[in-house]
Amino acid sequence: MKGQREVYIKQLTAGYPGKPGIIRQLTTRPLQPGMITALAGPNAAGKSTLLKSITGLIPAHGEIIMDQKNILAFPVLKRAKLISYMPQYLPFDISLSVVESLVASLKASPLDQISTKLPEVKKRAFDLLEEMDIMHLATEPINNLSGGQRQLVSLAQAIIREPEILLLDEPTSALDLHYQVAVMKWVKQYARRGKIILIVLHDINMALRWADEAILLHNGKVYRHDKPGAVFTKEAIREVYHVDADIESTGSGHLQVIVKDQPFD
Amino acid sequence: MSIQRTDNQKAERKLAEQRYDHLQKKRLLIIAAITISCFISFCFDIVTGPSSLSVKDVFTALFHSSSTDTAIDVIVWKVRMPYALMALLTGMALSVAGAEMQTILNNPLASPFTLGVSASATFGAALAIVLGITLPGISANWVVSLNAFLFAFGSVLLLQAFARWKNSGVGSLVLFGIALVFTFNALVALIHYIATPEALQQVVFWSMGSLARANWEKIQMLALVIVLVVPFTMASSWKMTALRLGEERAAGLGIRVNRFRFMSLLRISLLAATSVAFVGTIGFIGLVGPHIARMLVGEDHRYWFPASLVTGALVMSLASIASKLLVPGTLLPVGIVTALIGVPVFVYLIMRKDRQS
Repeated sequence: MKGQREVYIKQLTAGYPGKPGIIRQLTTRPLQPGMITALAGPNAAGKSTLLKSITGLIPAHGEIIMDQKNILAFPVLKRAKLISYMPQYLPFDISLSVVESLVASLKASPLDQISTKLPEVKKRAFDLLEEMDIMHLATEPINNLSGGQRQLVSLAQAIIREPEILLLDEPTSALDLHYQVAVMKWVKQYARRGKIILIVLHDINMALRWADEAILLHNGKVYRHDKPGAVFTKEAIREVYHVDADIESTGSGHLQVIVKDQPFD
Repeated sequence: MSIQRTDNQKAERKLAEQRYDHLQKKRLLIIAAITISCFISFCFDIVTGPSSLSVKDVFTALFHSSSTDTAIDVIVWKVRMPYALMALLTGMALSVAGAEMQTILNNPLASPFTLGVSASATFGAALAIVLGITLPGISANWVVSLNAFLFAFGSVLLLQAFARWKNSGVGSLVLFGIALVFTFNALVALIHYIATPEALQQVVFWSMGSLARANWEKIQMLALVIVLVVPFTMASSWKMTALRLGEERAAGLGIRVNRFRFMSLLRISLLAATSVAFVGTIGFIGLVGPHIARMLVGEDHRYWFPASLVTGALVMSLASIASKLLVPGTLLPVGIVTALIGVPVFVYLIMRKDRQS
């Protein structure tokens, strides 16, 4: 059984109508269960495109293999049972309470592994709020939440379906330090259940701190896929981001990117 | 990952669950209360009118039909009942259509009236009347409705195409809808110009929006459409609620958003077109009904759809009463009254939208 739940992305090509091939022939190393893989790269490198093509939001060619099956060939509903995609933001102006949004996330589309009968869904929603320690938000209208609370709730909406593959599009980019940590702690907890996590992180230091592996995308291809420390080297950052930086080790042994003083013309 | 639960946490959970259950119950109660108000308003609607019948007369006519004199019978059964019932039904149809539209177009300003669906249905109906289109074996009422539906559906498809093309910019969609309103109003005006006097009278009636031509056949048809369409609306509740969490998230849940939206547009067109075909363009109910319902029960569509249905009926029924009382001795077209209520709400929603962006 070991190794079966790994996910292989092979020769994946995807884009939008009028903008085809944002990612081209993209191949990664196997994505391991229980691991957080950070997805980094400059704007327009194809990070969101990759997540959306795995989710099935945009058409893609190639192979995404799990359990010896090509997920890309699955019909939408079958794919939705396996994968959850957390978009960057929850829309504003929703008149729903937190629990209602969780219940709807499960009820809107059936799952095999989890009952979608209402009383059980309800219990599940409260279980999750309890685990995530946000029970106090249960009946709060989503509109009243702070940015950080919204992201935690958005994460809960994705996790409640217990996906094998969790795809997160920059969940922490607009958050203060407290909620950055709160969200990443939860992502890590979820990974520990043997799930596969692919997370877009703009902040390289976040990737170095939290991810088990990192994929650096450049012009729609994998520039490097390795341990974060091996991906984000001085050379890679110069070549991909055109920024001179040092990678320094902190006293506690973590790596950190320090951007060098930039000359002004 | 079992976490040691403290008593504190258990208590907090229990409290949250109670609050949630309480909230659900409250929502059902609110819907029940609006429904009762609808009934009361409906009774008032029957009692009010230019020919001063006493409440007692009306009730005798209603429940002991044979014992009253025929004049009262005729007024109650042929004039006031159809009028009052039609108010409830059009309120329901337009309000549910508005609610569906607001969710699938992701825009609280959407409604059959504000986005030109009613105007295009009016044009379709006017065209059928003026051209005297007939289909063998189908009553003229149905043909007019059918044409109204075709035009309503066409406009709704246009709206959807625009929303997708412009990536659903909230403001621009509303502007596009207003452009549709202007276009079809101009076309209807053109029909005014070329229509025969008899047809003109009918067409003008459509543009005004009035319950005055309600009759039992039309009531049956509209009721039939509502009974056939609304169960599908209700069945879509969960998916609609999920759609409020964002289109990408909904699609990620396995909802085929395009097909789902198309089916909803079909329902919207049926509801809006049938009511427009019978009572003309009655504005803002599809905006006001869902808006009040949203404030009362939130956007869990299992509650929001029924709440919109009854709220729309109530507002329309109240508007119907007001249309008889506002100018003593005159029966105003009800569309004027709904516009008087609706425009302030519309402006308020625009201002709120502005503050947010």
